[in-house]
Amino acid sequence: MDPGLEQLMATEQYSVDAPTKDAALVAGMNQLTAHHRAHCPEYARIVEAAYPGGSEAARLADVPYLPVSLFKSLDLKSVADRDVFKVMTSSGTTSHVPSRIALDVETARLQTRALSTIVTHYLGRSRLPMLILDHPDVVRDRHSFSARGAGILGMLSFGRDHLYALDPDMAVDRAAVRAWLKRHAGDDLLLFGFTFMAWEYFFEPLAGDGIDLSRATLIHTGGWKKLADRAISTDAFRSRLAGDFDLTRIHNFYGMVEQVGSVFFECPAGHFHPPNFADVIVRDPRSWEPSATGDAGVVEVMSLLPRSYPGHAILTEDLGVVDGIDDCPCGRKGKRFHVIGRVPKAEIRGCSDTHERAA
Amino acid sequence: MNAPPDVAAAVESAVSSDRWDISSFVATVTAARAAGCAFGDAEVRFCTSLAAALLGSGAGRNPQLVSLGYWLRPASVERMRDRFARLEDRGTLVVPRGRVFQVAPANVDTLFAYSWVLGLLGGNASVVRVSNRTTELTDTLLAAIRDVLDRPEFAELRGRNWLVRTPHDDATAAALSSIADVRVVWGGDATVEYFRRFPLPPRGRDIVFPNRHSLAIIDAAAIARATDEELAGAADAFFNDAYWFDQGACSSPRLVLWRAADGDDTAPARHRFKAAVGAAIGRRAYEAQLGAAINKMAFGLRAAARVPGVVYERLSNEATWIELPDLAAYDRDNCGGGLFFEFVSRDVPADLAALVGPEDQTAACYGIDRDDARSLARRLNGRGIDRWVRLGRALDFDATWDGYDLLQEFVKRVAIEV
Repeated sequence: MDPGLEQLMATEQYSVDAPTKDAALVAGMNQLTAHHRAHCPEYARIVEAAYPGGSEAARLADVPYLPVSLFKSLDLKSVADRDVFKVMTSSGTTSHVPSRIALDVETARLQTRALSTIVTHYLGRSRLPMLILDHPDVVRDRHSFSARGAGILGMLSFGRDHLYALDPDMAVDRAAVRAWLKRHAGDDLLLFGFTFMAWEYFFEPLAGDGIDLSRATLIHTGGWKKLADRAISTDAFRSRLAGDFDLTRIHNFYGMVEQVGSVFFECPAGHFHPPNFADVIVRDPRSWEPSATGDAGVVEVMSLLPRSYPGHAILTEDLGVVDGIDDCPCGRKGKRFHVIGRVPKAEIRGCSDTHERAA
Repeated sequence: MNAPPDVAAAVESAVSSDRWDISSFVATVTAARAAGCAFGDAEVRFCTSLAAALLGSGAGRNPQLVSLGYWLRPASVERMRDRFARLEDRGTLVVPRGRVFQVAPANVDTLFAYSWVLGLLGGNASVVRVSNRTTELTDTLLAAIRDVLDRPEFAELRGRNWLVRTPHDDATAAALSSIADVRVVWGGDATVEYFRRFPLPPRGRDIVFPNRHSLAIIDAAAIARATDEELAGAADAFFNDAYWFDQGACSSPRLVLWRAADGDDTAPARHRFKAAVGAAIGRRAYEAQLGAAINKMAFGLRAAARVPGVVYERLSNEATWIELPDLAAYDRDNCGGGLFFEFVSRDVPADLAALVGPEDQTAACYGIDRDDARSLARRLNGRGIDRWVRLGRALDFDATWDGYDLLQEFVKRVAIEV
């Protein structure tokens, strides 16, 4: 492993201040750009076409970045087919074509280790009894790693005595949940689920059941869009869980299948933080230069993990804001940011659209 | 009984109305008079009245409505009538085909009107399915049409013309197709494929407008020697062709073929033109949506990934230029919104012959004269490119479109050899 990445992983997460981290990341990113140029012909051609002046970046913002939808339309990988250990897929929301992310053993290991450094930062090293707010069929087919299944599989190793709270019809199994909670009375617990499904199929149905989750930590992810559509804010989400379940240790995280392992956990102060080996740039949507702190723009995510595919710098289709640098009240160093939502889908006028398609 | 939307309420939406009933609407349409008179007085007067309404202050100064108004003005209709009259002689009468069912595109707001008027001038009865997507422009146009049609002098036309919004379901498509002597389907491949599932009467005929792709052919030397004023004019013309419908109209250029002599360095001319287009974009204050800007990055970089030697130039959110090292690598798939592929051609006839296929519709030309265009079209011999127009004229609709002469398509000939 690259010594820079090794050091960033070994150092306590969120303890590196921005100037130090920038320097380490620029060096690591440049190495990855060179690595992918050498091993992924499509990536090499893209960089040659779009960065004729060269791809060596003096600052993070100059690292060549790929729009995330390219992982849907191209098979981008920097390893031979025989070295592809698994392919992660995600449908995303812009089309029905999934992203296809090719992982080799090395990158998959890096992802696991990276996620571990983040989760143990928040949960400690002991494995807690774990309740998964989903149904087991999502992970049954190990050949098709959907984002949802992969997310659950990635988290499983941080818990023990796992219970899936839902059945395949998304109905909560009250008896099983109660028995499990009884068995672990007095234990610290880990709950994991996707934000909307956890809310819709677990917390809402059980809201009146008087269940005590005061010893639990909830980790959830998946975006707010569906909850926002129901006018449920993050504050309402938190206060309902506190009120109905006495559940107050809640960490949302922002991440995507294109950069598994490199996730952005929400700190107790409510801000997403990049781990040591990753970063985020919010780009102004006209100049594409980094936006000023506090200004909204398009989120670019950077990570030192992707070696088997050229996904170390990805322009997402999310809008976000960097709220501050090295100044979070929670004490964590580096950037803190929040995500506003998706970039609105382009509505292009034209002739070929009479038969309004359900997109 | 449920009253279907009638012509007085020509454009009332049936979509959200629980009173809509397709079978009673079909009964109304079939009970009405099936035809009037090709280029009859009422038909011609209607056009000129609508022209006056659109060109007057009432409909505002929207350039699309002004274009339509211009196309409908007396001199223009008179030209069409002359052309039409030449179809007739002592041994040939030209008569309406009967009932026309037209499916209008959603997003080229005024196109349905051109298409409908050509059917109307042919003396036909018409059902036009207007898009359910309302825009201010469409609503303004429909209101203007209704105002004119509501006049007592056009009562007879009103009785056989329906502009309706209908549910997009199989029952409606099947019923309206089953009574059509002519079915006109705009809207691209998916719409054409959809309607092909619903049979016409045995003698019915289809006029279909599937997906098309268009290009511009620009002489690099002509740009190099253009005065600043001429250059700005060319850039404005290009802007109109490309950006009016966010590059989504089938006749909007997506590929720019630069005509260049062997050995010429075209870089300065191309740079000059792109800068002028950038200025035109600024003059019109055109702004790409953020989603479109990101789509263009993805489409452009995807093209760059395919073959070596591509040059990707993102000049602004509004204009991205992708220079291709050869045309064999060209993929017509384009997200629109200001994404231009360009290729420097040292031998336009040979390159076009290799490139052009049936999906290619319009060539917007600059520095290419009529003889050049005729010889290129002759060489292509129908394989593709149905229109050769001057740069800036790509979107001008006319009765000759996609290889059809629509005036002729809406009428039939009666041979009289007595």
